[in-house]
Amino acid sequence: MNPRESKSPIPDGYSRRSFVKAMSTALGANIVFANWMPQGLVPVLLAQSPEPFSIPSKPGLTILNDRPLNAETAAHLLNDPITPASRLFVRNNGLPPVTPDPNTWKLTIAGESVVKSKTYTLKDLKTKFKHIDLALTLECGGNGRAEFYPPASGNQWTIGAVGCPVWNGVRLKDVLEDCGIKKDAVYVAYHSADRHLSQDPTKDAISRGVPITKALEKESMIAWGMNGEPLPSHHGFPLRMVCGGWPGSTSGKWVKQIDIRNIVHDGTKMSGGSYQVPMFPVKAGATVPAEAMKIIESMPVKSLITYPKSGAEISTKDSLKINGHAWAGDLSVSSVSLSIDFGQTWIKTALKKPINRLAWQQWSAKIKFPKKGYYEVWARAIDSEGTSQPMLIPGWNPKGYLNNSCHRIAVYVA
Amino acid sequence: MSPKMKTNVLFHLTAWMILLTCLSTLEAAETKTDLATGLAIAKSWNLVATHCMLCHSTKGFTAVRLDRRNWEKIIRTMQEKNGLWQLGDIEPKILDYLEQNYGLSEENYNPKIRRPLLD
Repeated sequence: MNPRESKSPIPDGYSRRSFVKAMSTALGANIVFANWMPQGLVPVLLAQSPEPFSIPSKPGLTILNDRPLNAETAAHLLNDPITPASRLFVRNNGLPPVTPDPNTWKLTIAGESVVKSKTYTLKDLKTKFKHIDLALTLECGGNGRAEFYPPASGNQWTIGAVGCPVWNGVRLKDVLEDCGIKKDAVYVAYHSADRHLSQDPTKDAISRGVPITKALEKESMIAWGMNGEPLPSHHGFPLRMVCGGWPGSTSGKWVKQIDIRNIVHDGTKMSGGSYQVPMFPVKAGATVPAEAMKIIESMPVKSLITYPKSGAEISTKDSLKINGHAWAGDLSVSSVSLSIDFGQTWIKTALKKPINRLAWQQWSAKIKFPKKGYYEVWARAIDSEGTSQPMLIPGWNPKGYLNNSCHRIAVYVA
Repeated sequence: MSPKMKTNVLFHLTAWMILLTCLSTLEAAETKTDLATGLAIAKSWNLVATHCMLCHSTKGFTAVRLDRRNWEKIIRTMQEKNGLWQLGDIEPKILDYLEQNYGLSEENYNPKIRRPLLD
């Protein structure tokens, strides 16, 4: 490499070994470095801006991490039935591609169980296959992690790693069938253009997927748009997978390749406890062996109160208009109820049908409060199979997934 | 590698280490958190900055409270899957720092969280 072209703060030709030695000297300690070490290793990278960080296209989102970028949305900012791009949470495992070119972007369908591997440009996808527009709920498997005790490592999501935009694209099924699916197909897995945080080119930041049955559902998509616009860069521009109702990590962003596998996909973050929960209830804080863990599939029933904002004030003379959303993974929601007396009695809300399968549903109610004072409004959804959200945090699991406990807001009645 | 390059790198490294040390001294008087890194200023905080911040920021882990055993698990995962090198005799220093500043102690307990019964 020409030294003038080098972006690394380490001068070229400076060997790793001597650099490590220099680092050890500088640190006054013996470092036993091993394996691979990233290019550009210099404390310049240590600096983190002391200024409060924000995402210009997403005002009001709470930043949980800035490298990799992760941000969630406060409940009251999620009031729209269709989530605008500016209010959709951001979940990254790695470093997104900097300037992806939609004109040269290619998607290859491959894997052991593809009859004929094919490569498509965006134009091919747009001209060859039927277009679909679907509102699909996307929720991070770790949404609600912040409430688990003992705490789990990872982004401390509270409530807002969920949203339901309209996705524009084609059916994943149509594209897979255009290539042909062998009878032994088990799983459909994506490979993406985001880079591993260490910048090691041999590592994937994340490579997950869904069983073939989920991939072939008519709602599983390859999307190039969100709410009628090209995908925003934070959400996978120019192309991504969307598998509504399943952990967001199954909906790969910046997708370059989709493999039809004859085994359960073994990519990055498919094992080691990532997006897995124990097969049976475990004591909080327990160490669970790998063979006792299972991959999370459909997300559990859950709801949000998106209006009013927690802390609302109201007079005893008035009724409180209250509303929100409810969703239930692969299922639908059959009812949403509210309690203003800490779960002793429940008030049924008016619940709308989903705009399409796997979209979240809107509920609303008017509440009269009997007397002055402090109230908490709790919301509880029940899915189409009769399973309810728990009031309190559900079963502890090592990585803090699937907290679908009731959302609550404070209301002051004066 | 030329001696000039070597001097250059050593100069940059030393300058950064001095700067970090100065920052820690300055910040300690006013606040316990280093503004540049977001880390609690305590013994060995600069080691955490050096070894953990090359790939990711501190925001992802300073919000977490874990016991020593689980912090050690995180280091192992970083080594097995994410390219972190062997830390040698630095590891116990980093674990001491994480345990003392981001540990699972009574004073770090978030009272909003309902604890499991366990017994």
